[in-house]
Amino acid sequence: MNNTQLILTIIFIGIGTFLFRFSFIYLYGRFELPNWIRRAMRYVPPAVLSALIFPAIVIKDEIIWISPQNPRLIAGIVAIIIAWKTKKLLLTIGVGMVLFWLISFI
Amino acid sequence: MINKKSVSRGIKIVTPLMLGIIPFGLISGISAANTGLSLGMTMLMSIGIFAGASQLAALQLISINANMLVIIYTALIINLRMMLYSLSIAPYIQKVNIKWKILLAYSMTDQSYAMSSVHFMNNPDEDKKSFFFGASISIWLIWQISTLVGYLMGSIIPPELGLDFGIPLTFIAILLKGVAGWPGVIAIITSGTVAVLAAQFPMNIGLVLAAIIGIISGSLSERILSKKREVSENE
Repeated sequence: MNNTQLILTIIFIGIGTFLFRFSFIYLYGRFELPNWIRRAMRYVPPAVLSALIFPAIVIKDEIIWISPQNPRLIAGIVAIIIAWKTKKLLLTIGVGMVLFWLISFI
Repeated sequence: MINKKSVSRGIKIVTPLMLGIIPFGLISGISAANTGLSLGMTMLMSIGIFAGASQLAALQLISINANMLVIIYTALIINLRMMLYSLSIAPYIQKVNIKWKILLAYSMTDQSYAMSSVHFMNNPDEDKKSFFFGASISIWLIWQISTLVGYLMGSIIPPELGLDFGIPLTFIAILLKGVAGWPGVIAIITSGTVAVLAAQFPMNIGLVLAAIIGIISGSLSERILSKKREVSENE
């Protein structure tokens, strides 16, 4: 990606995100969201985040690698358990990262 | 015009949350440096977008050379939830002028929205504009500083250390913080599985597909599960 594309990408995301934030603050009382959209919106963050997480821990060099030797997979699974049990951001990242290093460099 | 006491109440209410915001900002700065962005580009992104999860998603996708439209789509769909915050906070700040509305909208985050909306429900007499401003702007400031510090850290840490793995780890922490109930779990598993299976589709379209299928399966299973509950309650 060259610099122009990068700037355009940032500008488009920036404008779109601002419009989401501004939408109903501006439109208040003039427009209502249908219920099915409100319901669907609740599942946007889990769906998008997991679509980013799963490939990042399972795929290596374009190949699905499900094995105890895959450091990202093992560290990722442990991080999931820690995040689920403790809900702590720093602890999850810290343990996940250290485990990833341990498995990759040993 | 601005109520200083309300501003400082707004600042105080989000202060404990900085413990989560600072590392998140650091990671986003480190990731930007590791992805090869210049400092100027990193700050343009941090100030221009000002939404952590979408910035990290964009960085992850930039680093794997994803298609530009897919990057924009993914970042935007992550931020779609802001419309719900906008809808929910709107009644409290209807009396302020358009410039304030723009400023308050731009600086709104998950944290400032959540803390302010609960506070406004319990304190109807609060100066809402000032309080919301205080909550949002202090997070804004801390976010920019920690992104900058993270960038400087990232430029001295060699990429071989694999700190880019911090991005999925951060997503894991955010994801499991917010997940509620079976429909959420179903959305996660279907979307994640589709994303892996469709990873080799051209232009990273698999990511788009995975998100859509995950959202549909989450909403559908919520409907089915709530109907089942109604049936069993009627029996």
